[in-house]
Amino acid sequence: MRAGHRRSDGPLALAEVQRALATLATNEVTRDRLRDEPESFARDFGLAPGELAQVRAIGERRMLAYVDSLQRKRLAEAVRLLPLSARADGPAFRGTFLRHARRVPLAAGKARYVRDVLAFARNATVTLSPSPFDKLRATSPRSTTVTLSLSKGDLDVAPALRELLDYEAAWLRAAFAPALVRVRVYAFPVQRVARAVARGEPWDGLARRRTVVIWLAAGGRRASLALG
Amino acid sequence: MVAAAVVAAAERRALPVLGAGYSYRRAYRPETYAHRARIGVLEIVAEHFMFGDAESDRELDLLAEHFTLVPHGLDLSLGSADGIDEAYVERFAALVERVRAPWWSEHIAFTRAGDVRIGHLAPLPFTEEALDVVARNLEAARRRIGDVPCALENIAAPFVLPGATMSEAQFLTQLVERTGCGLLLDVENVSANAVNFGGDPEAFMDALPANSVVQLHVAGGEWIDGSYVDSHARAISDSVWKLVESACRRFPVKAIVVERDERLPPFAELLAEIECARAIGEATGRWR
Repeated sequence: MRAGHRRSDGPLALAEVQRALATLATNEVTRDRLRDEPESFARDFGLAPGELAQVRAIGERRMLAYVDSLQRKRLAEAVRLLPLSARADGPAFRGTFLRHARRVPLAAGKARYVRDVLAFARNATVTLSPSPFDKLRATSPRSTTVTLSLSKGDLDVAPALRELLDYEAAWLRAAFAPALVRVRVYAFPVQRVARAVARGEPWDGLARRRTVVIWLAAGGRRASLALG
Repeated sequence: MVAAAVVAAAERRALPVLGAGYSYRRAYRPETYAHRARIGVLEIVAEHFMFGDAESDRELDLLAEHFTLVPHGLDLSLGSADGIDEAYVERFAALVERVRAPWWSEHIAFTRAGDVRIGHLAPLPFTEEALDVVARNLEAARRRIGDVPCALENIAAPFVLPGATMSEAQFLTQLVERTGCGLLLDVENVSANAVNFGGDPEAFMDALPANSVVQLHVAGGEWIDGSYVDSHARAISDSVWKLVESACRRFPVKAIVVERDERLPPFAELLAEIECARAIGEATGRWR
């Protein structure tokens, strides 16, 4: 239905208003447009002037609080799914994850928080050197590699921590993949880093040592092997 | 219409009494089994199991052997003007059937519009159009889920949509009358809405039909940036416990479910809250 065909003082036209609200809740650019170019926003969503006024009447503060609550929910899942990385990064983890959440919408459907966390880990570890297997996968026509929307190094994470994040994400992938072979080459002894973080011991002073970790998952069973 | 409402009310009265329990969290799995004699009902978040692999299905079946499970949806989006997602309903229905649920529940909200999934509950305007949408979507869901009763939950509104033609209590009342569903009254949400937008929780409950509420949710929230947020991250406050007691005196409550999603406490603390809910149900004559 086009905006010009409806009364502007009646009840909200639910479908149009819901599309506008859902986009406002998940897209920072759209929120800016509602604030800076409301008429253009209304045209895009087919809102009559009265409906635009009603959407604006919700108030920016309330909408931002809602957006914050969405992002906090995603953050809570990230902390649950990546406990070691969250512990190692301390308070900075929140800021790093929320920068991801502001730009990348939550996935839909099966294991959406797992996929969200894996997307975050990919973004945060983008500066890792790709392994030969990653290079092969990237050139494969069947590659399912996601194109990253963030620029290189956008999520600024210390190298050892970035590797821990990648390592923890690999475990998560192995836990949810029906079958998987994954090989990663790390500059740090990442398993020792993980153990130190789990025990609350210092981890950031561990010297670099090239480590290869191989994950295998099939038929509900998982295993990993570290060489280095 | 009147006859159908009478039948629906009789069906709600006939629902089994489950007592007190909690919204299951895998982090508490060992303790949950260890204390199963003290847990009358386990609510399971449908999305945690409906996309499950073989391991998740095994966990679900084991839980169903030891507990009465009530599937609780987060993303059915009964308030979506675009309709419900048929594939999602199929999975939800399979879950309800698999665990032989006495009833299932979902929120009065929307989480999806067009191709945008919000990932969280968004409020509906309290209008006839929204009532029509929820009733239509619920009917579509029931065609697949079948005769298993459902309970609809009030949400903690992050904001209020202007243009309402009725109060929230009137909206819930009409929804109960039109659909025959019971209400899952989230007492913490009633309290949060009163704190954030004004109103009296007792008057709100007074305005609901006496036979409408079949289950309660209870949780603890917190103040964040000037708003009271239903975060499920804190212990339940005394004022909310008083509302639980008040709700139990008013309504034929069959189950009380404690929710805790963040800052999970030692299980003993959660168990104490379940015990408190159980004691309120006993003291108000809802169960022994």
